[in-house]
Amino acid sequence: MVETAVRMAGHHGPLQGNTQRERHLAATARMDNFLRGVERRAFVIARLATQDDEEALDIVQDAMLKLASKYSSHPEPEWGALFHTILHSRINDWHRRQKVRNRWRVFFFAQDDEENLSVRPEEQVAQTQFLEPETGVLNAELTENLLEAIGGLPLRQQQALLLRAWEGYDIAETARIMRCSEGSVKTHYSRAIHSLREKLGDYSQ
Amino acid sequence: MNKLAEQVLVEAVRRGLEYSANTLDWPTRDRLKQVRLQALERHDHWSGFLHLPSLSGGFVAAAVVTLAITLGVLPNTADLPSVEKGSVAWVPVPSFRFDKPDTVVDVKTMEVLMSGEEMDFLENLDMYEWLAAEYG
Repeated sequence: MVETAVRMAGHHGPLQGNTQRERHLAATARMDNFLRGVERRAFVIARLATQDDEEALDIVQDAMLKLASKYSSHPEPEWGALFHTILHSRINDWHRRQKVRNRWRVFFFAQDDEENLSVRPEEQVAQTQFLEPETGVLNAELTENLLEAIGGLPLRQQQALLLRAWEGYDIAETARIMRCSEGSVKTHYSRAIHSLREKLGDYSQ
Repeated sequence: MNKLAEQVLVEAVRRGLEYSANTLDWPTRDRLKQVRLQALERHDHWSGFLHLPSLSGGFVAAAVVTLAITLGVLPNTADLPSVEKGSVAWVPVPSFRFDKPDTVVDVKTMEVLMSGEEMDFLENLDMYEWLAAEYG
């Protein structure tokens, strides 16, 4: 009997190691599934906010790395809100940096900016088009107009709209992610809806 | 705007955004995959780090036992015969030790051990002592 117990104790170490390894692999698989599920939407959100593919990829990368390294020990149902909090925080940081850069650019390169402003609006909008040539014309047209309209919203309105209408967060969760009051979320969201309604008109019907 | 019109608009927004996410070009999808894999590497690193304490529990226990034994073997400086200041080469450890008055180490022996003498001589010391006792 003692011999059996010793044998069992001898097996305890490797079994425990295997269990830990399995648990670790399962956690990595869960994180992979989560990131796979949010990566494209996160990219679209970041691109709408920055109007730039590379900047959007950098923001998504930062958000993913931070979630994986700092918050992976949190319960899985919290990952979505945590990820969006990080993502939108990164987008806000990017906009703040852009404001500072733009101030300096205006100061030093006012003439260059005037030339840039001569670019026709439809050329700037082209950055927000994600459509393949063979896709349906109606879908393409609707998406093009929609993305243009959303991309043209002020950042906070855009964030409130995307979190509420696309990601499906309620007002309280959206307020936590955006780090503002629930009243502010309602205001931003309402203004975003009105603004889109004005811009899109019958497209949304 | 009435509620129905808002719902229609929200549904259109949702569908349009889903469409744009599902029709991303392949280079972008590939870049996103690379980004995800980098994040997972980071996740692996941190998870592995977090598991270290549980794996090294045995090592910690072994280190504590070794330290306790080491401190128990070392002599208590209070029990040592009077020694001139500066002749003892170790730091006294007064509290973490087992009291063993019969294991007092001769300070001169320690000095010999720490003086860098030939180890062959020290190893054969017993034999020399026996020879001295036997043959004067």
